[in-house]
Amino acid sequence: MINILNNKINLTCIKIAVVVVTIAFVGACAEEDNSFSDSVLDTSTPVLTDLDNYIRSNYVSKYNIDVLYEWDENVVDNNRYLFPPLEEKVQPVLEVVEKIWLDSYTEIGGDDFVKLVAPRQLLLVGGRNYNQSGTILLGLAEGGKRITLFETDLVDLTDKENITRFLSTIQHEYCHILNQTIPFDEDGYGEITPSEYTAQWFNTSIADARELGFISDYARSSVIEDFAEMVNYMLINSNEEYNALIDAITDEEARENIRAKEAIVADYFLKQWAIDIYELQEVTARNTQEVIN
Amino acid sequence: MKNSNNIIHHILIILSILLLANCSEDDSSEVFSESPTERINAQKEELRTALQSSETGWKAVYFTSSEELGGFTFFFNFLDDETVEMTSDFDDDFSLLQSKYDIVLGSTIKLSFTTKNDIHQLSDSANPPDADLLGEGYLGDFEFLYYGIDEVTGDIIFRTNRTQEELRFTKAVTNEVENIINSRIIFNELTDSEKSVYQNLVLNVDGVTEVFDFSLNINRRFVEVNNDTESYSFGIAYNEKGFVVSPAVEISGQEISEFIYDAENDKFVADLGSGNSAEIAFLDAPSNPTDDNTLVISAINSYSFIDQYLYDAPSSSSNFQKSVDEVNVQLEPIGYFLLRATFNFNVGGDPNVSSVGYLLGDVTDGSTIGTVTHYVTYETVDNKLKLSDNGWDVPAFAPFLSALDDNLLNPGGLYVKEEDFRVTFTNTIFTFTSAEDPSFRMTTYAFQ
Repeated sequence: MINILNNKINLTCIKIAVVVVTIAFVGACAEEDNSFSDSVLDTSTPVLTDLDNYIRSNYVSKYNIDVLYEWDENVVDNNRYLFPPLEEKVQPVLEVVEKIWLDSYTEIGGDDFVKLVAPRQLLLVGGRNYNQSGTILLGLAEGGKRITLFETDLVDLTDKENITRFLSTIQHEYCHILNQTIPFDEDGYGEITPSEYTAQWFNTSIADARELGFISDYARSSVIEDFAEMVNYMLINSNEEYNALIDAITDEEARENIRAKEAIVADYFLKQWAIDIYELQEVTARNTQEVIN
Repeated sequence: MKNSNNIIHHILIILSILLLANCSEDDSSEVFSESPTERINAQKEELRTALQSSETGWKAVYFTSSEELGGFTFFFNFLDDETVEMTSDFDDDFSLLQSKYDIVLGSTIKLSFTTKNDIHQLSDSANPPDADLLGEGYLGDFEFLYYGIDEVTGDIIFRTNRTQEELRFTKAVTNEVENIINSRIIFNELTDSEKSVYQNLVLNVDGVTEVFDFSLNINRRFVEVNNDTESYSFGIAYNEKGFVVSPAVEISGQEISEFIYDAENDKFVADLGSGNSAEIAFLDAPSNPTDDNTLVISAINSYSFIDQYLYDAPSSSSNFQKSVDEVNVQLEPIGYFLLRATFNFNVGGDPNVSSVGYLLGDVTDGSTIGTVTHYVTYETVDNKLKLSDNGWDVPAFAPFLSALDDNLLNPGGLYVKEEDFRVTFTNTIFTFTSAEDPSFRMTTYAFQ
């Protein structure tokens, strides 16, 4: 009997405790939490300029690519003497990049192509990036995540050669990103002109490099760069211009070797990415022409 | 037994109380009353407020590298929390250009000029003062670490992000931009090679005079002064009155930090107190002439001005360049232009055969046509090399080349100097300056 009574008291105590704790919990939940508005961190909405809004709608939302144009020392090589672009140059340059690169790939590869396989960041640098050897670094693709484009301030929208040079950086670097996502047959490709690769590629002119079976001087630096240069030259030229460039090579073996590399490039794009690179070439040439007009 | 139990109980209770009391002691109290984030934000706000507090804007004289470059003067006006307008004396464009800035956390709070403006010209790898700094520009920075405000002067104290050198922002005067524009006039007075290529620095201390050659690298804003026994170098920055030297240089025991332009006497004067002074002026002749005039004729030697590499050499004076331009104007109608002008002394070992050879190119394709030779005799006169006419191989060319040739054969002779700098190649550089017109100086590669 005493035990039963004790048990009843204990049960009552537990019930009271549960009610008290519950009320305490509910009370705690009901308490309005003003901590966020009092945060010491800066939670204010950033002021967006027209340029920022353009980047959000045309790059971030559309392609899942952020554009970095304001200086951030954490994303550049601080051993180099570089600087950010002129603000008024940023949008015109981005519009050209969008038209010639993004729109062309989207038209051939589909709406999600670039969204799924793209650098997550496009970093714009204003001036030239000189190497110690006196050569100029035009662009960088880092881990498939970020493409850095130098010389933003030097883009002249009225000059086809100038635009082509700037876009060639993107075409080249984007090819690296495609290759970093799905590798190509490096061994097979490297067997075409195996003995002509050199770290001293800059000692050869483009014309001489072509007579050795390379589309450009820089293509001689490695198999990976050779492949990217092939894609680059195919996409910055119309099909007629590209063929004329190959036909102008006097060495027959060199011509054949470049065509053999071209076949591997076309096969890679078709089988791995379901893209006919010749169609992409045609669309890119058309879009380039529209920009210049 | 019961007592001892009680004692143990009491001890346990006391220990428990002590333990609880210890637990409640707040060892984790902050050293500062605010959190690190709050303090960072406060410092950011402090700098932001300070930058916008000056209605007249700020001035900074930025010496990027005291070892090899001079200083550049900037004017900044911080318009709001993210916009700045600025100009500088880097070039002749004094328009105020707007760009973005931000105050961010780096190794400490820093001011970062985040889109392109004048200050970034010092960090342009493609635009160095000369080929030796290709890839490095003017070694400049455009991010500055905040180190507080000088309570006495009101200066904002920064350190450069790369090199941790102090840079101060000083409150600008109302007409600061005008001062910067006027400083370019001073710049022109000091660097006007049409006056003469010779400048010297004369130090007057306690009645004793010391004379130094004064040589200014215009692009680097860097000066070398030397005589037979002493040599000094220092960077300068122009202002509306003259130029400052930073860090101050000590020459023969005299510390010099500023020169003021004396327009009446066309001199730059540093007042060193007690009647002592240092003065920089243009001269008609070098103050410490060399005897290199005898060196060049001592063997079979050639000295060649090669237009492609030496026209823009810092030692090629503007009046020399004008002479070359005039020769090309004369040659152009007959389809030629000047590639090289070469002194050939003691040709084939014969002291009686010397010449000035003018190598001409074809204007249509740049190809080499051939050399027109003006034979000369030489003699040394008072540290000068005097060349005299000894006939042309094709006399008809003489009038086309006279703008240059007359200076090389001027009756006063040529001052010759073996220089200690190089241009593009490792060849020794020799300069030849007209004694009759000391604003004419030709730069040559030695082929000894």
